[in-house]
Amino acid sequence: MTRHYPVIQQIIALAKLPHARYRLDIERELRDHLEDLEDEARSQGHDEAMIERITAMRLGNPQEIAAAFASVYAFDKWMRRAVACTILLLVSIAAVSLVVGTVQSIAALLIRIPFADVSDGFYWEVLGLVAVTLGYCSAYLAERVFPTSFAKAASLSFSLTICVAAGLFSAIQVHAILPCIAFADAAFARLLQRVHLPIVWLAGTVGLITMMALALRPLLAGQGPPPWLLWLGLTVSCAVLRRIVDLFEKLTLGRIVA
Amino acid sequence: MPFNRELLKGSIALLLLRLLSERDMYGYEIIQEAARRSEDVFEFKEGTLYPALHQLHKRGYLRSEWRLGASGKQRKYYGLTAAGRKQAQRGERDWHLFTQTVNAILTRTKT
Repeated sequence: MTRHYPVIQQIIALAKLPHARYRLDIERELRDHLEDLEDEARSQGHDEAMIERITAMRLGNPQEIAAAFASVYAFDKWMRRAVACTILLLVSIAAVSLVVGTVQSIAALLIRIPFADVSDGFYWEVLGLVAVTLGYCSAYLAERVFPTSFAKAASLSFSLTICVAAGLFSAIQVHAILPCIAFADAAFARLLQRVHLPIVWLAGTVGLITMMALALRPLLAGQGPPPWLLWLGLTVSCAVLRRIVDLFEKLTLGRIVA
Repeated sequence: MPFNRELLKGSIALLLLRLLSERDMYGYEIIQEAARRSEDVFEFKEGTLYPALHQLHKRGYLRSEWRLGASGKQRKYYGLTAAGRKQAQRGERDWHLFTQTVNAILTRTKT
């Protein structure tokens, strides 16, 4: 094995290649090449220290090489990310639907009311759950784009919420209110999760749901699930989504970035 | 001899396609062959060569396979695909036209 193995590892790590087979292939190819260079230098009678200097010089700057490889595989990397994000959204929507459906069913059983009274009907229910998931994932996306700045991530999340709201209002007018609120609530809830203080989470989400319930009371005219159930649904959904996002990072993005 | 890096960058794909149009070669062999033919004027840096080979491979101009080299070691050999052969011909044609045009501008005096 060549002594320049750490340099190759550095190149592979910096290039952030999307597939293990690309990484292995490039690693093997560069290692074999360096071995050939070492053999050539050795046959010319150089000592080991000189051989190391020659091969390092011939290889060039690891950062530049990594950048060149990264640009070759940039499209693959983005495609892989797009597929991973689609899977994340589908899994998240399915998990949130399952969790919220279960919470609503249990609530309906406990307070002995028909299931229809704790849900908004299939279409609106699905739209709401998709909005919750997209809102949460949009805030997560903002964190990925600005991993070191909470303010920038929050601004991007806010901008996305405004865009979604504008799109929904132009498409379904007044009916857009509830999905927009679900989207914004979930995005806000993701931001609250970053604080890691249960009291902040409680105050933030309860305050939000209370304000929403008061503001929408004239519009809803007593229809829809009670506020405490909305809060419970949001809390449980966000807890589940957080687990899914953490798992997603470990399984997919971690591999791409590492 | 020092060479303008930008000039080499623009022509590296053509040089690789041309070299590989004659026979399959692996990276180290390509560097040696380019140095031999250019009488050591061209010194392909490994860091330039391999990304360029991978780029051409991704575009479908090259095929590659691991096989035993003359040294008895496994090496990754590159060769041209049919698309690569066409691209090499097109590249050579463009290159000749380009160099003729540049030469014409450089050599003709103002009338």
